[in-house]
Amino acid sequence: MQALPLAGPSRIRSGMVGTLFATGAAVVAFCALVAIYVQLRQSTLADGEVWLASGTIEMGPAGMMMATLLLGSITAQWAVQASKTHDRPHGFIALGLTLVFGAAVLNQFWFVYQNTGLAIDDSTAALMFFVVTGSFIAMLIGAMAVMLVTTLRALLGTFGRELAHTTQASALFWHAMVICYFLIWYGVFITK
Amino acid sequence: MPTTEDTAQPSPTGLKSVIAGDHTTIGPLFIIASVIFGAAAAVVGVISAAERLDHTSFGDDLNALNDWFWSWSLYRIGIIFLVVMPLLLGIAMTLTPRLIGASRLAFPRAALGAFWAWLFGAVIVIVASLSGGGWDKLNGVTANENDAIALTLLGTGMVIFALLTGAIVVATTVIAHRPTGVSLLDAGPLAWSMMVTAAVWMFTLPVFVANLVIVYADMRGRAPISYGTAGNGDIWRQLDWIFEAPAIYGLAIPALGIAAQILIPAAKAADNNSATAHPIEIAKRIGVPVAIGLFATLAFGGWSQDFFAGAEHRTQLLYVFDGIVIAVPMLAIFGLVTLCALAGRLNVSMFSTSAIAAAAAVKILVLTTIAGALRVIEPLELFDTRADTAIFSGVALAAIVAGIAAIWHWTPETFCSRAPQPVGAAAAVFMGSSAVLLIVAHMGAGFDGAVNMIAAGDGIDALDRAALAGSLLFAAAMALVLLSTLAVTVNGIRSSTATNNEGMSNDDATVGASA
Repeated sequence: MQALPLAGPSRIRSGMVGTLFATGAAVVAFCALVAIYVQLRQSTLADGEVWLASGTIEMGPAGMMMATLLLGSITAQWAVQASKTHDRPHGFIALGLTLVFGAAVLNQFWFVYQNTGLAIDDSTAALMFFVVTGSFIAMLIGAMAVMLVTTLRALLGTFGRELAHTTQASALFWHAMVICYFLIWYGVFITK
Repeated sequence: MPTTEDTAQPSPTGLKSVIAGDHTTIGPLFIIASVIFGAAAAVVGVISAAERLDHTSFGDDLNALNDWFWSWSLYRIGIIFLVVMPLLLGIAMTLTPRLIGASRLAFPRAALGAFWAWLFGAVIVIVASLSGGGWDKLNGVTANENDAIALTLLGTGMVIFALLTGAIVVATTVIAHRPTGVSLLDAGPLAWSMMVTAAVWMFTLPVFVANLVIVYADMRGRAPISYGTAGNGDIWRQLDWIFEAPAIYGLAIPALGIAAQILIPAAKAADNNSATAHPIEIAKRIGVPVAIGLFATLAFGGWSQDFFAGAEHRTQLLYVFDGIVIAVPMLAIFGLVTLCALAGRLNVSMFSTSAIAAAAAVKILVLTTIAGALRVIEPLELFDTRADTAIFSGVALAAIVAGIAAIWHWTPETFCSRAPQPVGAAAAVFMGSSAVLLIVAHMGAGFDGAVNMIAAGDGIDALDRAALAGSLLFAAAMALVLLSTLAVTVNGIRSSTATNNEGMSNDDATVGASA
């Protein structure tokens, strides 16, 4: 085998490339779920049947969740900027706020589930509603876990450029998660 | 200068090597485990083919039909997720760092985690399948069987998650660990094909996971609505798109990389910008990556799900175009290899095991893509017939025979020991013959109208016998590969132990001399 010489400095941080791939895979899985949701809804409506009865899902909490997640995106990016400039206090505030926004969205989802009164075996629509939103909640918890690890590393280790790549990777996953929620917001809540 | 993270560390030995994230250990672990599963899957394939022959028409014997469906579906899942994907991933993990000039994988611990998660998931899949599970039944289910099916689906998800993690590790290594100044074209067809494969798997496997999530969510807890209802074949119908064209072609991408890497001579660096460069070398540098990229682009298959999109989507232009055009890059690579052989410019001896196996992989894939092109021609009425099985068999066996080529070509790097050439050549010939028999027999049955999931009836006995012969040849080839792989592994362990002992003795002597 013709082997090339040993590697020099890496071109890009492998953490970012790996995160890009992993985020891409998560987004693809989520898009597949939403695509199946929309496909089933269209075929149900085409048959003249009801998908989700009018008034089942309120728009208010869904819009609030969108706004909360967007705020989380801003604070995640704030954390990236803070770690690039070695700004430890602002970095902690930004990471902490991002986690709080994530927890707030979880809380709002709990309210939505209570408010709709749907059960998973009510209908295909209810099943798909829980599958899509449940998968999103799993993704949100994943994004929060990554953010929490980043925060702990910042607390326990050196804050600054060394951590900037990790913070960037966490923020990237968070932004992708927000895009996934946008799909739910429009595809499930608005055009229900 | 090498960075800290790229500086080569001494490889761990013994038990430490199994739990350390060293690519020279993780890759062979994937290879050995997949070859063992491959031998077992080949036996299941023989049982399935023999059962089909016994029950040309299952009629009212629904238990026999269920048994046959169990082995038939286990063979398919086993071949893809427990044999082909981990085999190619193991080869890529072992060779990619060396091919691109890196000293290690991008995320060694993730690679190690991927192996153990895959193995654990595989064990769950096998145990759950043997406990009455599987990927559905055709004749109703008991409560226990329902639970076992749910566990099988969970294990399948775990296996896919692990394979995806491994693919991401390899792709990240190719992208981020190449030395500065080394382009992707310099990295060679194998590294390029693995990066492309990771991208295709990344767009395909998560879709399959999404299907699993829907089925599992419906199945567990309360009474299922529709998607998680076991016992009528619907669960399998939601998942079977991954065994059909175009998604199935995603398995063949690394086979193209392996074949091109082994057979076509490398372009000389000095020739890259030279007008005097040999046309074959230019074709390898530019043409092979383009052909592999085009093949991979056409192998995206998550969008083609009959269960949700309806059978009519297969008559649409995109599906037909995809099915026919995918043969073009395959023919281009075949043409290039043929040109190399005619010009006497093959990279290796034409009669070496690796050349025989790599050439067989390319020829099988050409045959398979032609069969695939015939399948999408609607008037031939091959949809949902055993033409699907022909394409599945062709792609799977081409990938495995490419794996044989890689194992025999790079055994010194992979196992620190050389594999016996005649055994490898015999395995490659058996595998190639098996593929031809399976493709021809199943295509013939398809033209006869035999549907894919259940046996069709009388009139195809001869073709079923040919398919059984193909399955037997496949089992024989896998047995040879298994024995050779185990032998080279033992030899490799012995030689590395001897080298270590020799090194320790020298160290002791040095210490003694100092004293």
